[in-house]
Amino acid sequence: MMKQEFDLLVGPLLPWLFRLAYRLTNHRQDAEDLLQSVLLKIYPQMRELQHIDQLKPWLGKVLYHEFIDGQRRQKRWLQLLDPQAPRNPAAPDVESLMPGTEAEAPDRQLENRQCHDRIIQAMSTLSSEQRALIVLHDMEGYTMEELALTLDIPTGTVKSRLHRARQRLRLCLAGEPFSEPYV
Amino acid sequence: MTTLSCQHTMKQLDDYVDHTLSHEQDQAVRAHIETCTPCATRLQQITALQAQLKALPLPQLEPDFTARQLDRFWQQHQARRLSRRWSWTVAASLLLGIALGGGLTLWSGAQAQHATLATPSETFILPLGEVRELRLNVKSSDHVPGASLSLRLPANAELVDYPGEQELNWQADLKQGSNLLILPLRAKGNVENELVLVVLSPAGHQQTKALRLASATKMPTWPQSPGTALNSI
Repeated sequence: MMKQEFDLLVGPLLPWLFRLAYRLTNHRQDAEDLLQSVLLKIYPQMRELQHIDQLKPWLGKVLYHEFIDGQRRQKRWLQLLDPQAPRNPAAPDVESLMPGTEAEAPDRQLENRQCHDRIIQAMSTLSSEQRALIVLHDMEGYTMEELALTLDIPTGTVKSRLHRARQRLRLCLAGEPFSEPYV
Repeated sequence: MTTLSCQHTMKQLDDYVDHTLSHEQDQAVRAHIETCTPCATRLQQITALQAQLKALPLPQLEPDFTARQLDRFWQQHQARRLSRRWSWTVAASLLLGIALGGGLTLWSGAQAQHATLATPSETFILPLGEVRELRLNVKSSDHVPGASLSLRLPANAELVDYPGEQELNWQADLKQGSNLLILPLRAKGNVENELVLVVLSPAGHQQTKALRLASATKMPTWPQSPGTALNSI
């Protein structure tokens, strides 16, 4: 496959793919590494890719599975290497994040940032699969049907897992104004 | 139209927000929320959290982001093609493990309790820009709790998630039989030296094993015949 053809085909989608990878990993370098693993995965199938009508959902699916597989490998290694290793793969890469573009009072900016940090921390307590459901549906707007295709599970299962993930997130955020769990 | 209880409404709020209720159910929930403050408040909380999730910030991408990512991909692609030509190592795609064999004995007492460190008999190749998993099998004939492990990496080699750290120390319980140590490694530059693993039992018996690492952009300077055994201690 010619370099130029591959670049033209996937290049325009890389910013979107990175955005998705960053939402899943919350770490700039991990997101770029995940992006690279997707490119290495799909390149051998370039001939088929050129005939896919909607490349974006297909790439999203590859990214999701690469993310989940990577998380499982990492957990296995971390357990063997050092269960108490002071590493949190989902720790937010706060320094690289853009500040809000609207002019906000410093107190408000700080409040928002703290709120974001708490949400990111709560997201990191979810399983990889739960985190991916919240990211894809609640943050990136995937429909239930699109999620079902991406995750290779029935729509009903998507819905119940998504709701459980949300409940778990709300429990972690107990005390936040938007987090009161169900009675 | 059915009149809903608060408990029933609460259970349906996620579906209501997702627009996955039937028309009749949707209408019933809406009617209940209009007259019930606690349920309306709960709905506000759910939608507020969703708004916050959507508003989580993203890194700003540089103008050359796409070009950089494609450049990096082509470099890795080229490095992988080169590594496949060197058939004296097992070719592996990104993040696949390589099983290695060999033996090293660690004596931890007068008893027959001992652990063996299965050592590789080949050089481990690290293509630049890629992550490769090095798998080492630490075999122990008995349970050895509280063993100390020390890993020293050569210059320009690093463990994923431990950037810049050339030495790591930790404790682990070696179970009877195989104990798999999986090390995801990355070459930041030219690598042409040894990785050293030291295993120390609580009784004070130490075993050291070295494994040659080499990055893929430069041919190693030592002999590369397959099956070359490393020295045992």
